[in-house]
Amino acid sequence: MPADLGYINARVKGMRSRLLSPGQLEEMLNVPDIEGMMQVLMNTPYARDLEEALSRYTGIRAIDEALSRNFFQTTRTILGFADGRPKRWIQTILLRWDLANIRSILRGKHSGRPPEEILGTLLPAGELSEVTLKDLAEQPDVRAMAGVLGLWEHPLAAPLLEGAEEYARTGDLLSLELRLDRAYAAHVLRVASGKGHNEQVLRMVLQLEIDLTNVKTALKAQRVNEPPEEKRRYFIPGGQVVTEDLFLDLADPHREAQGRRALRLRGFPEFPPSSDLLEVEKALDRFFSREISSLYLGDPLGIDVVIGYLAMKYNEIVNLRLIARSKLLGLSRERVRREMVLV
Amino acid sequence: MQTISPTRMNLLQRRNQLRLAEQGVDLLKKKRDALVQDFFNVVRRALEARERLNRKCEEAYVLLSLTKAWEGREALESAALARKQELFVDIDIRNVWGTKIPEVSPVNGRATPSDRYNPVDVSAGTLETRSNFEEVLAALLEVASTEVKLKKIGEEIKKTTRRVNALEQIVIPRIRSEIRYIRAVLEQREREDIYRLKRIKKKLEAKEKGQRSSSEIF
Repeated sequence: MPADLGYINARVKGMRSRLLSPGQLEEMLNVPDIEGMMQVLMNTPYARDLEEALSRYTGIRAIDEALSRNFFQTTRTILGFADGRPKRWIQTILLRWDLANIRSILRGKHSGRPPEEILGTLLPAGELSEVTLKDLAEQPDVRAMAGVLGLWEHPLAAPLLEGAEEYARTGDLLSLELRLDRAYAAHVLRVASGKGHNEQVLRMVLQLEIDLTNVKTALKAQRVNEPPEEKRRYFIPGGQVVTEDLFLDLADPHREAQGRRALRLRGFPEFPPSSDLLEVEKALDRFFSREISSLYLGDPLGIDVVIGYLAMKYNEIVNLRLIARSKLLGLSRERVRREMVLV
Repeated sequence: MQTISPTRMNLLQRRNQLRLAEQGVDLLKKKRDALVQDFFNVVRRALEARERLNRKCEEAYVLLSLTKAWEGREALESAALARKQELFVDIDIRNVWGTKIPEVSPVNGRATPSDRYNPVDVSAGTLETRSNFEEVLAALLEVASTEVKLKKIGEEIKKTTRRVNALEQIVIPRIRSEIRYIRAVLEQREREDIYRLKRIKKKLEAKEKGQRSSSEIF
């Protein structure tokens, strides 16, 4: 409902002032060590989270925890403003964190890790609360996990249950993860299937994400010695530009140039040669960040503002993590500036 | 020295011992030379391995830190949860002049389909970090292998040098002095025997002369 989004956006625009200014980031870049950076962070909205993190951890781990906690609190605050359809849209945006957390729990279960170790790798920024995630981590198997998710009517419960039997038979975690990836994309696109502005924005963001993911996956699949039929299963349907055939072209080192040409013709951004996958990913991630963050200046009564704000907040966290690490590694300010996500 | 009985048998025995000790010194010196040569070859390799390890560690830790910054600690640890990899090493024992020297090399296992990382979720940064740390592990094994080898060869050189020194400074001089002593005693004995025989001969000649002169009187 537009009225609800108007209210949410007003609150989100208020939160925008709590993002760090370039001057504050520069100040952190200039301090010589991690303690100095913590002192600067104590004068920012991260102070409370840092204080809490410092009671359990020290150094860079405390900063990491504070930043993760702050992001998680931000998503919770925004969800707290919302109701009805806008809430559903925001939950859909945050569903990627649930997917990441479920994947982590599945991986932990697969390799027989204790729940405490699994919980350390979770970031409860999605719909699933810390308590539910703990409950999931303590389940004995995938079927039981699907049962817990089903109780919360979580959209990933059904695909998890469908894949549980095959997983129990084959122990093939990769197939189960790919099933969840496809189910996530299908669910999100279903939510964003309407003709309204908000659904269109949501769909545009998700289709761009799917396209970028497919391009990155295809280039990674080039290095895996598998026949095209095997590589095909890594393709996530639902993107706007990357079709299955195009994906297979990109996944084949001999047909990559052809795939790149097709991407260019469809208006996909240029990216570095696939010999340096790291640079390709960075370039595509930066492009995605810029595109999504620019939505903040979009329709003031649409979902654009929330999506843009969340992207800017996440970029800020990535930048702070980079600055913190530069203190440990002794990286030059120029190098950090090069690595930072500037929007 | 007092315990040695200066007999010809002992002299022959000591001479045999001396020959054996000198052969032993010769052999031990050859062994030491071979070990020293091996030691310097391994030192060169150990230095290169250390340098390689330092370089790999620096690359790996910088990329690990940057990847943690780009993707978050949680994403990286989640990828690490997927596989609990064991590293198997092959230990061969090489024999250098009777010294057993271990050669450690990793055994690469093939990943089964269920062990593969999900390329949709796991980023190139994470995969490169993993591959960097695999290289660190290989470099670490090489350093461990060469340094164990160095330690073993070093200990053996020390032991061999101690043996050579013991033979050259103590055993051989002692045998030589024993030989000198036995030879001196035997020569002295020989001289005494000759002297005694001469005296007896003189006495006998004197006695014979006395008998001859008394028979001439009668």
